[in-house]
Amino acid sequence: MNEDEAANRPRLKLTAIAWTGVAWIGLAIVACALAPPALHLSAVATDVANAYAAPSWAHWLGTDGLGRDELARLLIGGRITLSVGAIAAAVAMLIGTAYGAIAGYYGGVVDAVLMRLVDVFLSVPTLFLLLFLAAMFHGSLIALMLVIGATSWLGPARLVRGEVLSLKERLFVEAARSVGASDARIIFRHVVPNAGGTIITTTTFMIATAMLSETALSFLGIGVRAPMPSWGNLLSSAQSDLFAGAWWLIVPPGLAILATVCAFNFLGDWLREGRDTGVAGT
Amino acid sequence: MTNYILRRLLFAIPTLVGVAVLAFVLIHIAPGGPVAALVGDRGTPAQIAQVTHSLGLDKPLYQQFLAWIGALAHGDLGFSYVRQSTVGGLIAQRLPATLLLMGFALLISIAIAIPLGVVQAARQRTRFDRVASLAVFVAWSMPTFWFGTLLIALFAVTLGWSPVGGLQTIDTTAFDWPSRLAHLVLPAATLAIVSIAGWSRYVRGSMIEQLREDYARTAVAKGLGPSTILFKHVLRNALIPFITLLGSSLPGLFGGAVITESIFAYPGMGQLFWQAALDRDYATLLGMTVITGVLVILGNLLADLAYGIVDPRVRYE
Amino acid sequence: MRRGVATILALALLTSCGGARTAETRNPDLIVTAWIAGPAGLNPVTSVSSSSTMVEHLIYTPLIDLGADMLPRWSTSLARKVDITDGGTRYVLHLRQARWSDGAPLDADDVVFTIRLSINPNVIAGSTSDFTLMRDIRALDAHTVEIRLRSPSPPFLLNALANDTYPLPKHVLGRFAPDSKAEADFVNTDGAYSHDPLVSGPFRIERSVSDAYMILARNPHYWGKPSVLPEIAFRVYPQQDSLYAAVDAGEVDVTDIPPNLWRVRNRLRGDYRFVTWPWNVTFYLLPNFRDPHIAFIKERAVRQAMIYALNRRFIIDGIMSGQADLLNGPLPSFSPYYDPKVVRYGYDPAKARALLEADGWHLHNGVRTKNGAALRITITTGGATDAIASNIAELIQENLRAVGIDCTLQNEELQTFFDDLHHSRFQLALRGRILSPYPDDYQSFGSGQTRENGGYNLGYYSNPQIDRLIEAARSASDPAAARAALDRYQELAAVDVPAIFLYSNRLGAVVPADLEGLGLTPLAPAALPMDLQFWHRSAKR
Repeated sequence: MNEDEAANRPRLKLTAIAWTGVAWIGLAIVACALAPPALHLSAVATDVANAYAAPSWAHWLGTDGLGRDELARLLIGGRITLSVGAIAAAVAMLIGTAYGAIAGYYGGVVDAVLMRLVDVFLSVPTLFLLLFLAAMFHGSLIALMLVIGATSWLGPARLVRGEVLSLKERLFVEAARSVGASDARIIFRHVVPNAGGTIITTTTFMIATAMLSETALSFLGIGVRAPMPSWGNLLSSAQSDLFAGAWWLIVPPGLAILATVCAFNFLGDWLREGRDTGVAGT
Repeated sequence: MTNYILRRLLFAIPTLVGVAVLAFVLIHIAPGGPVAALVGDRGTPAQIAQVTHSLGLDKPLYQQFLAWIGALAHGDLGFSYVRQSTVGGLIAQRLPATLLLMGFALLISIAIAIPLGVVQAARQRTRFDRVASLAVFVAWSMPTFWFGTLLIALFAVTLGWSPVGGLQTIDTTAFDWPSRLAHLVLPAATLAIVSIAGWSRYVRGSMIEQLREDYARTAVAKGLGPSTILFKHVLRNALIPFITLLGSSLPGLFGGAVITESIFAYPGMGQLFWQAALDRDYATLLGMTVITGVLVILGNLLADLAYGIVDPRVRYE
Repeated sequence: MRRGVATILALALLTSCGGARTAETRNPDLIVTAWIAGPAGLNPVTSVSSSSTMVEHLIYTPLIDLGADMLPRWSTSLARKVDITDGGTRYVLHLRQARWSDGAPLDADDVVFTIRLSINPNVIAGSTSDFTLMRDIRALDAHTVEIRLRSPSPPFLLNALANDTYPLPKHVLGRFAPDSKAEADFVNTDGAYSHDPLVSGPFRIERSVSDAYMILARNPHYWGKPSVLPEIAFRVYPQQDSLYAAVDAGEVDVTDIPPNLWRVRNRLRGDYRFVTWPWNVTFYLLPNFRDPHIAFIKERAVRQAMIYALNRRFIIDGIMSGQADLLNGPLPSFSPYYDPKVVRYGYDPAKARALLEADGWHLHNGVRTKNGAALRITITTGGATDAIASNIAELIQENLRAVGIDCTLQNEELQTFFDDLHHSRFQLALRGRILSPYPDDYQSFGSGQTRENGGYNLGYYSNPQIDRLIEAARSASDPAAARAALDRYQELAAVDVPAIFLYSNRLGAVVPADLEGLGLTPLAPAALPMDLQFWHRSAKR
């Protein structure tokens, strides 16, 4: 027991990193939600005489090619990227959890068929799906969230299935069955909540992945479309400015993505570690 | 064991059929078609109708599907009109280059991730572990295209240590190993960085778990040296689940990575696929999906067999 | 350890200054050009990519070559001269002596074969030439070709005969009956010839790796002056920023510099100079005159107000770094057929508002309304938008909003965009068009040329006066009459605004400072300088 306590204490260092992550995410959300109206920032007001201006007191992060305030575009872009990340992750987790829980609980033929279907989906290249779905839905934001979610549920499904496979042998399941609870009730009221740790951890990682997906899709031209800013499309349209010296257009979105995705990854990793050793929320 | 292989191969058939149907339906549902790319921007609607008929695209979907499956059964993967080449020929051109790149990236990832994870586990909670963890997380969180462009800006443009992109030197069409390797470094590094991050965490976590197991503690109590413990027993047990992780990277091995390939001007399967998707080059898309599907299924089978060999607890009937 | 790192860094910095910067092995005497995408097939009748067309121009002899002024250049054409008689319905082409790389003669039979092949209805033709008025074509002898038209057609010479018509070897490809389906099937699926063609032009293919690089070398069998440079290399870089980095690193010598990188061209290291020249691609907003939701677009005053409202100067100077020219009508000013008398619209939002007010459109919460209808419109753009295209669309939205027209922007994936265009599912589409050497807007704005009738008038524009002028310009037997009609057409189009003409592009390229002989033609197929057979390094180096 003493050794375990010792094993827990220095984990506070890792916890410090995790709390930094939480703090950053909180700051990002608050800033993106509240700062633009508070500071009267506009992401669309053009000022063509002032294009490509370096940071100054008038524009803290400088201006872009049409003279728009880069800080405003960064913050409002953050709203978009964060929401895409969160909702896409939610979609992926919903589909994946249900799918994995059903496959894991029933096992046997049901499991085999469902997992073969997963193989089929894995063999169809994701980019394919993304391009076609993006083309079909004319670049709507909701479609983007659904599409990213719909193409990333396979991993969570496998993880949840693994958890459910081991959970279904536990006593509480036996107990519920003996009381005559229906399968659906057992799965969604008893088994899935017990897999809650895995689910929360995976969701956190999924948000990180979804945000990076949005970035990649914007680079390929099928993510968030102009005129809506997002960290992904701000970064990719500023690529050529790397050679132009307009660092204020590249560094902020790049750092924003890096820091926020990193924060979610820290959080997820800390949650996973806590769960593995049976201690959470220290 | 043979029964297991046969059963898996048997299961592979409906999977492949599923892949073919899904791919076919998806491709044809998307708006637009190959005709616009072929006829060009100035094509009149009359020309478009003519070409649509020539390509057989005005027939009912199921007829087109059967025609494609029929040709496939004869080993004919189809013809890409946009690229004026047989689909088989295109894949034969791109697949070796892709395997080289993805394989090289995989090797780098494993070569760095495993030792990194092991050392981190051995030196858990030391400064090295914390700094390495931080670096790993940062690498994990970087958008690939940004990282790739930064690598080019630093190593190719500023320092001149690496070519900016391309397959190999243009002085010859023969396979030139030194030149190929020089051109693989940056793209492989870009690809590896993300895998290194994920896998080193996995190895580290797995090793830590194994180190807490009874047999490891017993070995320590018995006085066996730390390196013997680590490298003989713990490592082997920790790596067993790692093989399934490797299995999940198989589709990528054959499918390539479009963003990295574009940035580094490396003509691979990822770029071919993406361009074919943009052009609605049906034949190429379908052919590539089938070939990749077959390779992935075979690869998964091999990975599972390897798992069975490595882990004595697993039995396949 | 620290000293070692410092030494390495110092060495690295030293080596990175000046001279051969790149780690790529390269022959410093070889000129390396670059494309975004490599050629896909080299049969001009079926190839579609722009780099294919560029290579075809180098390895084949064109029937009629066009110079930088978009007029015939007989010194580099297969045809020495052409006689146009019988009121413009009979063309006799006199060919010079030329050979294929296998020794066979390139003669009139090849010309007849190629033209008939390109009009075979079952061939999936990449060519856009219009041979519909051609009644028949035959070889009078080995070096004379006669073409008869049904009626006079001023565009025929430049837009059909001179439009990337590269005679192909009949003795290799003419295996089936002419105009047959069998012939079409063969040509459509022929990958063998496409990737290893016989050549007749100044260059031959030395070696190539698909989508990676291609080396062209001097063709010893060429009938004309041999190329000055013995070899030229082409590399493929799909990503614009990596291409720019390659130039900076010294891997690439010649390449296109697009507008968004034009403003930072002087940051490139190395001994370069920059060239810029007009391009025959123009950008415009195409209105859909048949969409009931935007019935107001049929009012000329509204269309004119829109032009006055747009700050096209800023689009050109600010967004495109000067790499465009203002468009005052359907034709750009560099066209030999341009009419300088067309009316000019400046950037005048006050005038735009005045026009709208006078027409009865009054402001109501920032949007102008009249009789219950509001000035709301959707602008659709296609393709992965780079900073340029999206900035232009957003500026247009801003400018129109400032005069009371509410715009929504919609960006669509490219194929979806074409699909919608071809089915007239758009309100205002921002698009580019490639201009033919002889201006002929018949299919674009002729009222009878709507989609249902097989034409390209996707906006359903209809103006009988314009129809008459276009018709006269394309069918007059007297060149002077045709020219006069073209002038009147441009003047009327500038006033009636069948489309909101924005600007015509300019091309920019980076070339080694001592490279000369560049052909800066608006018809550049791959946005690069042409006349590669005349490229040479000047002695002053």
